[in-house]
Amino acid sequence: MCIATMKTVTAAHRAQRALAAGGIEAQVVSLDSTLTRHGCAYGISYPCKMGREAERIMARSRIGYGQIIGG
Amino acid sequence: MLLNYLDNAATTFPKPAGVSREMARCIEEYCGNPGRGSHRMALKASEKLYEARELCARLFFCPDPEGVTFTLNATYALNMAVFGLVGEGDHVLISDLEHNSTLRCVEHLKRTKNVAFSVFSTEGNVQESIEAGLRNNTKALICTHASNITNRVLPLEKIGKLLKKRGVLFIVDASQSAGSHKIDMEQMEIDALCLPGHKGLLGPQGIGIAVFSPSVKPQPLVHGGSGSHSRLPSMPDHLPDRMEAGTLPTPAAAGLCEGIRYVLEQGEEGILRRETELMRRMSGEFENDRRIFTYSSGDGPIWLFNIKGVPSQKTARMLDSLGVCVRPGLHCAPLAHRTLTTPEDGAVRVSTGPLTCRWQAEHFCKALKRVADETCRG
Repeated sequence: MCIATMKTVTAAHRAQRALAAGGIEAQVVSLDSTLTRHGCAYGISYPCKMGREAERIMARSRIGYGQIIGG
Repeated sequence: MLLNYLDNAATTFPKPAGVSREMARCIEEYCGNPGRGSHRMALKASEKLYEARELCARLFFCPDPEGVTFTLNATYALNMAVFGLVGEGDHVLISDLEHNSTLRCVEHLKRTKNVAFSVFSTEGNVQESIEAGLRNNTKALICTHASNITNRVLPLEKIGKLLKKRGVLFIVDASQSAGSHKIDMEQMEIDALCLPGHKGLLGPQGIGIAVFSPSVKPQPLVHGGSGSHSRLPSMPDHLPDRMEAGTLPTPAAAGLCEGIRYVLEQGEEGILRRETELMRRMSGEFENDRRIFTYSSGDGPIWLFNIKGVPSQKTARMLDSLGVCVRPGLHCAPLAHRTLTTPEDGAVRVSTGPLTCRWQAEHFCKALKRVADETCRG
């Protein structure tokens, strides 16, 4: 699975809804604080094979994300 | 004795059945701390909060659910917007119908931050009144959408367009209108929309909402844990976390979701039509009764009146003894009462809600006639 880091849990839920609407099953996950610069953070996990489509959906929905982990 | 609750402008009662049911389900099944931790209960709770943000964004035509922030009530929401957007030396405009939740904020800013404020009249041409009150350093206009003591509704779209042209922020108190009047933040050019969850949105007490447009970046009012960016010494930059320090009321948000769903199903227009029809029945019954003095027409969900020569508190107490719950006094809106020229002790407010029934109107009329007969005897 790939994980896109998100600035807030709210943004992660928003991404999950947008991805689901685009046919991609995604989960909100909490990230290990060592994975981010500022401590507690959340991400959205989705199948890596859908990575390109997921990024396109998030960009179209103007959902900002940080790094992509995995893949 | 029958309980006839007619104080819906203070808080609506009853609520749709789904509200308490979902709150109980939340407490029993998924009341983790939202945005704190990664276990399933915390995630389920944050999902419910997000659902509430989405529903608010949908109801108020806010393009981004992340602009929907939760707090305790409308007063806190207004404090967040006003203190978060107005600063040292600014000028603000408020209407002559404002509640203390706005008036006291600007009075405090006047004393502590050298902020000047002026009051515009809502009688006659409101835009002309506003134009006349704008100054070069006017930062924001703060006004109620609908008064809490009359049925006067301000033309938000016209005001918003005027303010947009002049580069003035628009902060709206929708405490009395949300749920019964359409509010389109984009079309009305609203920068911050403040409201309670427990009135027209039919949620429980304990949750208030401040919706910010993507164009503003308010300063936080409360500082503390946000569940994100914990290493930062200050509140994060982004909404909603920036404005939401501390644990949020998930059970209240769960109830609010069901309240908003009811509003979306019934439609604001239908709700207002029903509330108004019932109020017309009540106020209309006393139209030609010379013992009753009316301050607002009853052409909406609110009727403000007094029995001539009888203090409002006494009338309300006597109605309460007959099972009718109404609110006397100044309704935390001394400025608006001054505008309507009510007496020193205010007036009696009767207000219908989305779930008020026809029998309540009939029962109220009988009760008020009895009180008027008793107090005006001899």
